[in-house]
Amino acid sequence: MIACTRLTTSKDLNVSKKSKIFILGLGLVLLLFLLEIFIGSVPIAAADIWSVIIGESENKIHQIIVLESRVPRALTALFAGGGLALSGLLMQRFFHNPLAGPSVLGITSGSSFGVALVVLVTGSAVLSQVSIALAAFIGAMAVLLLILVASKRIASSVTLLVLGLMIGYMVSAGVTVLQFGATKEALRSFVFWGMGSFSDLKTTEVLILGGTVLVGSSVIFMNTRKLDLFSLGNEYAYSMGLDVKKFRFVLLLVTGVLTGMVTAFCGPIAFIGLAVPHLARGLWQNGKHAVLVPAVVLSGSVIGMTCDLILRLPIGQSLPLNAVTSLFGAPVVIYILLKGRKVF
Amino acid sequence: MAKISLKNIVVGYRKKGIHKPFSVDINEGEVVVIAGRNGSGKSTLIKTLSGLLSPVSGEVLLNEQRLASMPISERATFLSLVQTSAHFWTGLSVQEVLELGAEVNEQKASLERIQQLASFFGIDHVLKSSLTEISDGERQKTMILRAILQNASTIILDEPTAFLDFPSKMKWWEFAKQLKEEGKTLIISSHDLSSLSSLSIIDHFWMVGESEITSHQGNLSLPELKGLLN
Repeated sequence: MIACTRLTTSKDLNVSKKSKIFILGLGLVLLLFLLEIFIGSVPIAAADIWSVIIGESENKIHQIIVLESRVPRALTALFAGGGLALSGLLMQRFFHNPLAGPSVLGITSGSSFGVALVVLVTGSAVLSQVSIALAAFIGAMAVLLLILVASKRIASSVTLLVLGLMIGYMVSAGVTVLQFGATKEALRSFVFWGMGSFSDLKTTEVLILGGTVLVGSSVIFMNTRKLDLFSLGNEYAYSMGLDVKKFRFVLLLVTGVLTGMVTAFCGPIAFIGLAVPHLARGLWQNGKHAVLVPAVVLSGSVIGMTCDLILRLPIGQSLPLNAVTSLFGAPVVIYILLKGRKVF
Repeated sequence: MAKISLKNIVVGYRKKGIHKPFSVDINEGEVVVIAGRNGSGKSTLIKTLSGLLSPVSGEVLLNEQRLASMPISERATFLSLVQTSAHFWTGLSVQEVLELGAEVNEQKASLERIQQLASFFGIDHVLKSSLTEISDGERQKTMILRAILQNASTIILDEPTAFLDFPSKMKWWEFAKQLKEEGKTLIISSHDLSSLSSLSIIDHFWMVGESEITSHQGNLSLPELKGLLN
C-alpha cells in the first residue's frame, strides 16, 4: 500500500515539471556543447575561441582546432549519444525486454566484421576513416538485411532475439579468426577502432551522422502513439488497429540504420544504448512515448557529451571512450535505481 | 453493426487442425459463450475469430467480407479483444491505456466517461498507476474497460472473469447485459458456468470438445451445461 501510494504520487509529475526537466536537459546540452568547445588538450584562451566562433579570428591554428576538431567532436557525441539511446529504447520495445540494446541484433558485430575484414585482411594500419566507416556500415547493413528477411518469416520476438544473438556470435567468431591471422599493426588499429571514439570525424561525416539521427528520431517521434500500442504486446496492438508486422519492420530498419551509422563512424560503443532508456524513464517517470522518445534522445546526447568531456579532462585523457561510457555511466544508472525511482 | 459468419472453419497451429469444420452465423447484438476443458482449443478459436491467427481452413466473414482481407485498422472498428492474461512491459498508466482504447476509433477520450466506468469497475483509484504495478484483477478490469472504450461492434473476451473476485464478476455480467442491450455482439470464453447459467443473455453456447465444436441454444441450466462438458 505504501509503495502504491508513493508510485501514485510520483506518477503525478505534472506537465510543467516534465517540461522543466526538458528545458533543464536542453540547457545542459548547450552547456556541455560550450564546455566541449572551450576545453581541450591545447589550451586556448576563451576570448580567442569566441573570436573563432564569431568569425573574427585570424589565427589558423585556433580555427582548425575549434572548427575542425572540437565542434565536429561535440556534435558527434551529441548525435551518436542520442542515436544509440534511441536505438536502445526501440530494441527494448521491440523485444519487450529491458535488457535489449542496439547490439542484440548482431548489427554491431556486423560492423566489427566489416572493419576487421578491411583492416585485418589488407593488413594496413593506415586506412582512411572513410574506408573504415564504409566497411562498418556495409557489415551492419548486411546483418540488418538478414534480420529483416528473417523477421518476415519469424513472428516470435524471442526467436528473433536468439537469432540475432546467434548471428552476433557467428560474426564475432569470424572476427576472431581474422584477428588470429592478422599482423601486429593491423590488430592494433582494429583494437583501437573497437574502443570507440567521437573524434576525427570530418564536417561532411558529422552532417551524414546528424542527418541520419535527425531523420530516424523524427520517424519515431511521428509514431509515438504506435509505440504506445506496441508496448501493450503484439496481440493487443494488433487488435487495436496497429499493423504489427509493418511496424516491427520500421522499428528494425530505424534501429539498424542508426546503430550501423553510429558504429561506422564512432566504433562499437557500449552501455549508452542499453542504459539510457532506463535513465530517462527514471527521470521523467513516464511511459508515454510522446514524452519518452525525446527524453531518451536528449538523455543520450547529454550522456554522450558528458563522456566525451571526461575524455578531455586530465583524468580521462588516457582512457578509451568505451571504458568511460561504462565506468561513469553505470554508477549513474545504479544511483537512479537505488534512489527508488521507478525504472520498469 | 456486424454479422459474423464462420464458414467451415478449422482452427489450429502449423496447419494442424484441432476439430472438424464448424459453421455458424452470429447476428449483431447476440451473446456467444464458448466453453470447453483446458487445452480444448478455446483460445485458439478466440484468436482465429479476432484475426490474430489464420484458420487452417475455412473463412471468417464480417458482413460478408473476409476478415483476412480486411485492413487491420478497419478490423479494429468491428472487433475488440480482451485476453486472459498478458505479460506487460509498459510504462503506461491505467488511464493512458484506457485513453488509447478510446482513441482507436477516433473518439476523443472523455475523461468523465473513463472516470465513470473506472469507478463502476472499482479501478478509479489506480488510474494514475502503471499497468504493470496493479493487481491481476485490476489489470483484467482495465483491459475489459479498454475494449469497451474501443467502441467496436463486437467484443471478444477470453476468460474475462479469470482474475475477478465474486462481486466484480457479478458487476461484469451485469455490464455485459447492458452492452447486449446497446446492440453489441459479445463472444466470451468462460469457465464460470454457474454465473452463466443464471444469466438470461446468452444466445449461443459453443462447446469445444476434443474433436468437434458444437453449437447449442443459450438458455441451458447448470446441470445441462455440466452434462455437455462431461
